[in-house]
Amino acid sequence: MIKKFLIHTCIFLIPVIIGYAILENYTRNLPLSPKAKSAFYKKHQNNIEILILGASQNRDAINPEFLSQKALNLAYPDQDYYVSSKLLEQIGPTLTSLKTVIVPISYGHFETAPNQKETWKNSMYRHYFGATISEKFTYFKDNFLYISFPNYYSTKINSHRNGKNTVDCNEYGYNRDVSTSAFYKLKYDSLSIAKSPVPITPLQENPAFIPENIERLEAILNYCSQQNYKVILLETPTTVLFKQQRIPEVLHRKDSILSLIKSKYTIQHIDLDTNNDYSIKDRRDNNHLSTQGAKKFTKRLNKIIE
Amino acid sequence: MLFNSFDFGLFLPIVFILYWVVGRKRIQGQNLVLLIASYFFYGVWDWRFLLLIFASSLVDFYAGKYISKAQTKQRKRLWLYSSLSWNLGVLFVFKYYNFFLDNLKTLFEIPENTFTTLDIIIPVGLSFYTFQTIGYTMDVYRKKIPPSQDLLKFLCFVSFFPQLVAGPIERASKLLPQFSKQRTFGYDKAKDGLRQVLWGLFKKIVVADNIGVAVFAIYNHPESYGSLTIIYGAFLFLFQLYADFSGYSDIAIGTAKLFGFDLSTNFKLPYLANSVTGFWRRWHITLSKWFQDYVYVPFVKGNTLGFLSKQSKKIVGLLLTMGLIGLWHGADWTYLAFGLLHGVLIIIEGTTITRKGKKMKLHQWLETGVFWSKFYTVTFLVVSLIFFRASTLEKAIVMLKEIITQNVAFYNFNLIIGKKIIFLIIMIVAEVWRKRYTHPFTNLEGVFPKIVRWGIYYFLIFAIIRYGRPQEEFIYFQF
Repeated sequence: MIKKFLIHTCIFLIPVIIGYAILENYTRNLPLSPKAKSAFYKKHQNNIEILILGASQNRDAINPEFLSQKALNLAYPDQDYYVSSKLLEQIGPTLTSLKTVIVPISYGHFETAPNQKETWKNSMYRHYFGATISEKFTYFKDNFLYISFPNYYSTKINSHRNGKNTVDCNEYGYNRDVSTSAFYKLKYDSLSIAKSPVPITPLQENPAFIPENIERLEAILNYCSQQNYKVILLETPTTVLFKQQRIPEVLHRKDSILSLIKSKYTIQHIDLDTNNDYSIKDRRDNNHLSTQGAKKFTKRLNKIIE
Repeated sequence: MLFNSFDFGLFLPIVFILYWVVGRKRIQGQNLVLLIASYFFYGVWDWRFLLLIFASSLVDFYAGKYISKAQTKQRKRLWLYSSLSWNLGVLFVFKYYNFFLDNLKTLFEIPENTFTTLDIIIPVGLSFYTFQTIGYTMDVYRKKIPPSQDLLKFLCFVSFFPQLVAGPIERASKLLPQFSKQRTFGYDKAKDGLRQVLWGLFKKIVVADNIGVAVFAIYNHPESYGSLTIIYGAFLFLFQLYADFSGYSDIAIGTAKLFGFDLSTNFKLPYLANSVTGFWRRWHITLSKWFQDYVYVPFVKGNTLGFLSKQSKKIVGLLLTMGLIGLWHGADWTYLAFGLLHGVLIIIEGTTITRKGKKMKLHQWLETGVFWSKFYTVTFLVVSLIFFRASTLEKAIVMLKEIITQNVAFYNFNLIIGKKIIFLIIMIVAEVWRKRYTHPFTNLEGVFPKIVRWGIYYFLIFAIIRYGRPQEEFIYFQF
């Protein structure tokens, strides 16, 4: 009886397994930015001198194409210091020529919930870079791409199938496509942009998150100090509208933390948020640069690094 | 380990094969496989939780034995109170101590550093298995069941993995004897179990988790929407909670069937109830029955507050029971408010009225199907669940205010989850259509040919894979 049950269950599941295998294979072959970055990483593992960490601001602002040294940009949306530290600890040692690590420091970094301990990105990093960034027990799920975030990958699959793929990566995995950005959708019309809400994080003061975020940043800084990596704490440009929305207390606390970090560690702080010469077309939205802006920004950063 | 995780997808078939292949010849073998599997299932969360569940099991196992052996009523009581003190003490320390202390500090203006709150996590499913073991000891004390003489069976009864972390809260009289019987594999029962698991996964992963996105967006920023969206959000939470918890129960009951066990029904289309009293007979049935048997009835029939009249005692008993049911969900004023609100309505519904010359309780009249009774029940549930969902009492009140004071009802109206709302409709239609059965796939052979049935199952599996979300949590696990 049990044999019959097991056989019937297996027969029933065969189409499901085959269907999923096809889906997973399709997902793995999608031309996504992490895939391009992974190819670059594998090809230039021994020549990469700069590692860029952080969230979408760093991802969009730094196009490694315009840096004199080979750079790997591993910044990704919503990536907190925890994920950055995990990436550094696991990918850093594989980059034999690594000299500089760029870490973001921004208005919202210290008062945003450190909630990336259990992220779907774990499967992405495991697949493309062999790194485990999740604190959780490594789930079976983490070894598959599609199932880690079906909604995200389904959207990518659909756009790819419909020829509307918005990924246009260069050799370094920098996505030059801006068609999904907020300002592009508003046709770079300054009046519409001024009227649109400015998404800003955090929306309210969250001082309770500060200790854990500092702890994680310090983990990065300590690791870099042990490995003799130069650290750049980088601030990327934001619009005047964005600056107006910031909560003064949050900003003040961020500055205090920065002063403390500067006094404790040997780091280079580069604040490029003070530059106001970025045009609307240089931006994707109020706190992200477009391809055009990234070119300007990266060249500027390169000069400072050099 | 969560039911909706891939780990469970691997764990279940392995345990299933071990159970039926290795342990098929002896009850002890089957029980041993179940115990090891259950402890592994639970230990994946945190191995330290195992110490607590093991200690609780031992306390109640021996308390049961000593209660039965005790010669005098005093000694019986002593053992019962020892067991209750342990169980309620553990529950208090892990679940209520910090809440109690914080409120004490506020009430008496005690300086912050006088007593420190405990930095501990609540063991998963603590409230569920503690209630199950309390029920066992009470039943032994009341001589409703004989004490268990076999430690292995008792450990299995407390830790049986399908219902360990979120119920159904089983009675010893129902579940314990099942561990003493040889389980033989039944093809139809296992098939039915698998179908119920599939239906439960659909309800949880596809319906609950996806409407949860809209609920989260609306509850977090009610000020961004007009009253219509807020009401829509409040209704969605009603269904999110149902799909999440009853989905869990379906998976639990279905999984138990795979091992030859029968668990109690926990939900009977609660939102179709015609009264709040009726709702509690259909919602989380095993919990409300537990409170009825071990709190309400002993309170009303016992000598406590003997100076009160019978009627007053019933009212106090109801408020006490419903308040405790509220607090069972969590140490917060919002849960207490939720429970008490229900208590007040149940008391009102318990008043006697005269209809067409006949005396009856208000809820009995409502349950005859008065046309507005369903509307009244659902409206009340929506309002009370706002308290349940909101993180603080203030937020719940803000939400209610937004519904009433928003001038533009249609302002920024948004389904938020778009077409995925169809899954909710599918769930409702299927459950109402097949309301006579424990789950919609029972006896489906008589309704659809095999090809259609398989088509439905594949569709559900597709939806589970396609619309699953990265997070894996059940709302009721926190309780």
